[in-house]
Amino acid sequence: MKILVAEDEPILIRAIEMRLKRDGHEVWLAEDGQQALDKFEQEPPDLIITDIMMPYASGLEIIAAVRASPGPKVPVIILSAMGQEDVVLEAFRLGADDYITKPFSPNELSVRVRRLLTN
Amino acid sequence: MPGLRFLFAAMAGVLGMLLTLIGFILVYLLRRKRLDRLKDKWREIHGEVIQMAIVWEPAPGDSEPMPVPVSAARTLGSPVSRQCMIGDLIKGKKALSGAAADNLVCLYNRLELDRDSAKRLMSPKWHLQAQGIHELATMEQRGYVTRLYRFTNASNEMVRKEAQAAIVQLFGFEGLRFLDVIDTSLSEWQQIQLLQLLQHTTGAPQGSLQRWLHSSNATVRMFTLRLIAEHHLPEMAPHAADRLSDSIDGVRLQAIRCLRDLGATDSCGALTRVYPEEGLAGQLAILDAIGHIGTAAQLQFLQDQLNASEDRIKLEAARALVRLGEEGLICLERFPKIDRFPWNDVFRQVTCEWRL
Repeated sequence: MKILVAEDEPILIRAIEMRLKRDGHEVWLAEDGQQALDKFEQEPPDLIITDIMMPYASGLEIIAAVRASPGPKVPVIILSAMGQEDVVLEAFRLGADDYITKPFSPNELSVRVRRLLTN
Repeated sequence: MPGLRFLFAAMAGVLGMLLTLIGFILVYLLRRKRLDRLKDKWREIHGEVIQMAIVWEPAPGDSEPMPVPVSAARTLGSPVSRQCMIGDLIKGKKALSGAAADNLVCLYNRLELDRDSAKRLMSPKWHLQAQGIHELATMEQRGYVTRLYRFTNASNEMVRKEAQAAIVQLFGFEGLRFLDVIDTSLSEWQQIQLLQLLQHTTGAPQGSLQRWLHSSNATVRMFTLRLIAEHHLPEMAPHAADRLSDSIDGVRLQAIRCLRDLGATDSCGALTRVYPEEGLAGQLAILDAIGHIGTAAQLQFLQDQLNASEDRIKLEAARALVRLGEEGLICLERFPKIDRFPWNDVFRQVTCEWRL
């Protein structure tokens, strides 16, 4: 499955990439919100994992753009820092499917990705 | 001419100084650029090592420790490289949890980076001490507890805060034993930070809590009252109520809030007893508390406060009556002066709030 990961922290994005590749997924990386939007427009992935706070476009803008686009629904998982409850609620309102708070376990993320792709 | 010679000499001097300064700047920038290039190279190697550590899992039945690539050890000859590695490990540790985070701690230990962090504790510069403390705490180095503990009463505020947070992060409630000895104040911010670190910890030591409530340090008493409220320890309510007679305003205020947050209905008697001796802030806090934990037994007391000269007291008493339910509302409505100013305004205000 093709998974788009949008995260501006280099260590984190690589950790997620390695974990998902180990699960057999094809992983596209975006280091800021605009890159993520550009990649989504080029070709919609099967799932998106996005941080909330990113340069140029936030995770919320990405969710809004994904939900506004035609075509099959792409599941979205958001990565949020602890204490961002309002932001998480807004993300759900916009159409996010799941969230995981930092610090998080890559193994847990892997399970959540598998669950969403199966559903 | 002597004047002209002097002028030329001065200009030459200034030019010389400028050239020297430019020279220093150029050398500094070149060295900096070289260091940045080296750091980028190290980061690339460190990044690969850290990624491997994050995703590493032992094979079933395998008790071999996590392997550390030779490339990593080779780049760690320089202190700057080691500091880069520590920085990247800290970033990773803060963002990840579970097995991935454990692997990063394991990598930190295997590369003996704890020695670099510990070396910082001996620096005369406070920011390096604080950095060392932060690194050791983030990388779960419980073995350094004795050295970290010494900093919990440091003269430098930043170092002290970092050490207190570190000890609590590593040892939970047990780590709070520095409260027995600190003679410096715990700032509001520090209290909030410590409470946040203890948020998901259980097992508050009651013996210690009682001791801290009698500390000579007023901020320790205040913090303890917050801790009791935050962790919902109703069995500590009588001890918290003892602080209603504290000599420090802030402690008494915190005691009132603590009793309110504990839902300590039995304390209403104590609250009404100390009420006359309190200043305005204390009285308002008591009225607020009674509004939350009071019963019908406090209705007369609250109604009496409607006659206070201070309008804020009238308002808070009216609020408390409304919060106590239908009986309180009836009590308020039947107040003889309810149709007169300012009681009519007060009534309008509190009933509006209640409807919202």
